[in-house]
Amino acid sequence: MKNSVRIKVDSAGFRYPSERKLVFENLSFSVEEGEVLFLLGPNGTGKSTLLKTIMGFLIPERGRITLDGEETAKIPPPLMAKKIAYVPQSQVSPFPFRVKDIVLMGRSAHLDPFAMPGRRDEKAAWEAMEQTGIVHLAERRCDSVSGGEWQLVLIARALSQAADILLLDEPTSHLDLGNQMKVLDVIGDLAERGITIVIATHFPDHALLHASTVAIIREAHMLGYGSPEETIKPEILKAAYGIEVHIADLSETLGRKICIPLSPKGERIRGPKEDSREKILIKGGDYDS
Amino acid sequence: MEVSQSKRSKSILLVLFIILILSMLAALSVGRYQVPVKKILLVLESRIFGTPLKVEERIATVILNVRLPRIIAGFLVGAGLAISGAAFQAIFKNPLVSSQILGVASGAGFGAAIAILLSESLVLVQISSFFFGLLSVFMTYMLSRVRKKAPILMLVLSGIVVSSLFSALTSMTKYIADPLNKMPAITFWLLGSLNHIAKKDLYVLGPIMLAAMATIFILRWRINLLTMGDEEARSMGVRSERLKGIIIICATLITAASVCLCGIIGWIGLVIPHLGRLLVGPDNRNLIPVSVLVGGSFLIIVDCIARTASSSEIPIGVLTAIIGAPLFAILLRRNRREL
Amino acid sequence: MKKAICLFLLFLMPLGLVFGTGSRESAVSPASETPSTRVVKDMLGNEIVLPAKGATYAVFGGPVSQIPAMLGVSDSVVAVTKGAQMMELMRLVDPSIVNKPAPRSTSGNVNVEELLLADPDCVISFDTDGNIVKNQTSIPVIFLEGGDMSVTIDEMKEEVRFFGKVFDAEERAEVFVQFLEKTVAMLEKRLSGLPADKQKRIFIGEGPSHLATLGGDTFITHWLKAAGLKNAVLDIQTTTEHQEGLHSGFLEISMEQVIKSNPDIIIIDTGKSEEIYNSPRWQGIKAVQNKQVYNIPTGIFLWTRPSAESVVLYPVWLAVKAYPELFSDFSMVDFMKDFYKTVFNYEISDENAERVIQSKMGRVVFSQIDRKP
Repeated sequence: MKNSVRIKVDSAGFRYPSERKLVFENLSFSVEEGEVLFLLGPNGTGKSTLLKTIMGFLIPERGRITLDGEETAKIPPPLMAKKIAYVPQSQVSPFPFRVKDIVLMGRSAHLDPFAMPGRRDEKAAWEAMEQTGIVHLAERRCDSVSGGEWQLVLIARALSQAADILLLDEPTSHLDLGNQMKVLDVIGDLAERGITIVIATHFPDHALLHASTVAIIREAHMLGYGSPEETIKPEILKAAYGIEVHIADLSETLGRKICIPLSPKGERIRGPKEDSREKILIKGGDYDS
Repeated sequence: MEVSQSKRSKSILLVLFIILILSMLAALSVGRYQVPVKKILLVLESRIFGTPLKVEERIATVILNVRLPRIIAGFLVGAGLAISGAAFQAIFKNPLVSSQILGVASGAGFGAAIAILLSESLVLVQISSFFFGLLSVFMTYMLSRVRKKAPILMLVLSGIVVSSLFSALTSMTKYIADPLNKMPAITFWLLGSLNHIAKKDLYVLGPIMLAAMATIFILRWRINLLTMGDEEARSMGVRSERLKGIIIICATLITAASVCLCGIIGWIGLVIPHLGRLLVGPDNRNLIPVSVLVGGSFLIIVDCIARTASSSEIPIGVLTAIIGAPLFAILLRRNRREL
Repeated sequence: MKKAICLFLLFLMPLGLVFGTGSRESAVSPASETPSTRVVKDMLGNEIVLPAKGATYAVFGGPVSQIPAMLGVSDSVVAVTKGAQMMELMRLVDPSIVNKPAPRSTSGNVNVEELLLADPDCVISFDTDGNIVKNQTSIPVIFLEGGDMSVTIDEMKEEVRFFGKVFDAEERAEVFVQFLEKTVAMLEKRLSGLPADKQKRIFIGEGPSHLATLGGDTFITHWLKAAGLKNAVLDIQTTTEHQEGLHSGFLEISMEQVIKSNPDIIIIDTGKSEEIYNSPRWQGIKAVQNKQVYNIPTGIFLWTRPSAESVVLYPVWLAVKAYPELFSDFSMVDFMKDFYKTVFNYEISDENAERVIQSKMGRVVFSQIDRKP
């Protein structure tokens, strides 16, 4: 059963009006229903910009970007919000709203301009907070939550919007390890539920965890596009990030492959050799030479 | 689900509403012309039921044509400026703005000044002040447009430019005006006073202000979304530009009408929303009604002081500054985080 | 180090220029008269030396600006006050005033350069303007005292007599004083039969709101008394506070207070009486019920200020309005013609006299623009 195409990016190029250089150029790909697309690429490569053009905030200079066949920049916001929810890289609000009120904001997609949220909306917001595990933060003022908690709040807000496509802009960039995993778990759950997801991220390893498709962008162009197996390869990642990576297959122990970046000097991590004079770090902190 | 917070907000609203009603009643019965409560009731009775007057015509004039319009105007202006301030603070994502940031007060002041200079008609002064108030915001908006959008920074900067322009023009008008008569009249008008409110002013401006306030009131939850920024608001389904535009138009109408009625009154749009936030937090579902109630009561009470404290009328703009500035300072220090 | 000291001294030099030049106070010792000078004492006791003949003066002050014309010494006035210059009747009485420089607009606003250009031998003014002139120029100042809104009728006489001394025109000053005394006596006679409780009460309501008034502590109380009238807000003091935007001595009171005072007659200075008759806020007041709201006249200067003209004409005008039955054989026009001729040596036409009485004589609107180059 072929899934329907939701988002179609067709030879799209974008440039900020005051700039001469294109942020991205001639990108073409599509996102099908239920797909989980990871956008990888170095800093400043236009991942955020691409997401914003898909959201319709920005208009592509060349080519077209469509959602369900319509150009995204032309879709009226109320309609758009019912289909796509957006989790930005966001600063905390200047006003100390309570977390539950921030999450509730996501319900505006389902409310008339003059309406107030009601019981149904409060319930939906509550469920979103449960899903992201932040119910205990509901009454907290948003200026007293940590960066990681705030990211989860924004995800909860997007979830309360109850759209079937979710766009996330570097959702794990400022999170500690624990929160990173939490977020990835939520993404995994959503993927299982069939939500279409597009994530811009720095971490190829996360793509190995959850992606169904990966797109790698560098210097305004698409470097690689395909399944994680096809794209997360050392040569492609070296071309993208300029460093070596090591892909280890730990299917037996962890059930997945992992991707580890290596230092630019290209030193390889070896196992301990009795006769080696090299300094190595062993668990426990003993040094053996 | 936590219900106590919304219960608390509801009881606060109830208390504030009672305070408002009490202050209106108190304002009706105080004044330099001592009128016993009994007579006040007789006047109200004859007005409501259409029965013949049982007291002197003068007393009826004081109650119905002097105090009552003043109280209604005090409520409209106080509540209106407060609600506009709260809404602007949301749009500009900054708790330090008031509705005067786009230049409406300066423009309206200039409109009044030029009309006082060129004519003798108070009606013309009001029309001119209203018109120039709206014009100045229009100019600010047009100046700030960047590719069909009005970014917040541009709005603020353009507002500063337009405000300065009209302030300068007002000074110019005062300079060339007859120093014995017109110039003092202009200065005095700008200081602000509810002393000149006549019923007919309220017949025209009252509905305008109420309609604009009601619009902001209905949209109060959506306004919360604007505080997250234009892009995020858009992603949640809000037509940011349109919503901002509606709010700005409503707040401008309210502020222009206020200046028209009683000159330039400052500090209300800034301080009352802060007080409101202390009481019920930044959620505009509660903040906006609280601003209405607190702003209205505040100005009615301040006006009572303005007209009874001394034998002369203290300009109300002066009083709101004397009370507002220190109050704001206290608020700032007590709640540095709250800001 | 030497270099630094040199540079420092170099910087100090301009300061020396600024502070070194510009003489200040006049001699401490009492001024002596020489054949070509004379000494004038001002109201503060200072002595000022003036040329015995051909001295030139600047006159700062609205109401006092008419006194030189009265004394016939207008030619010696080389700098005037803006407000006075703008009065229509002033321009008729003393046409030369139009082209004179007017460095002083309102109290405290003196264009010093303009004054220096006019180069008068002295400046006659009250303390605010006088101190500005004293601090920034070396022109001697003849200080006036009082002249605020609480002057009495006797103080008016003294003021004119003082000007007479300064301008060496004491006889003309006496002509005015006699006319004033004659007028007060005339009023007393005509009003002698009026019992105290029948005295009408007047409310002065200035400004577009008609609520800026003169209280019991102002000159108007004396003017009214001479006219057999009472100030409706006698109990309110208006010279103690000063509200920005209002002329000193005026205070805006609340509408309620006006209603409370229930005046028989209301005098306004702007707008039309119909505004008040038709306004719901003014209903029930006696003056409105009896349709006795009048616009105050403007003559050589505003009658709302204490001036030589207003102290004579205003009480008469008010008495005629308040007690027409006591003045049935009295012609205000003739009285005015007599006044202007005797005191100002100016023959006012019947038409213009009527215009003053009907409050139709006015002033130009744009002060700055009207100046001739």
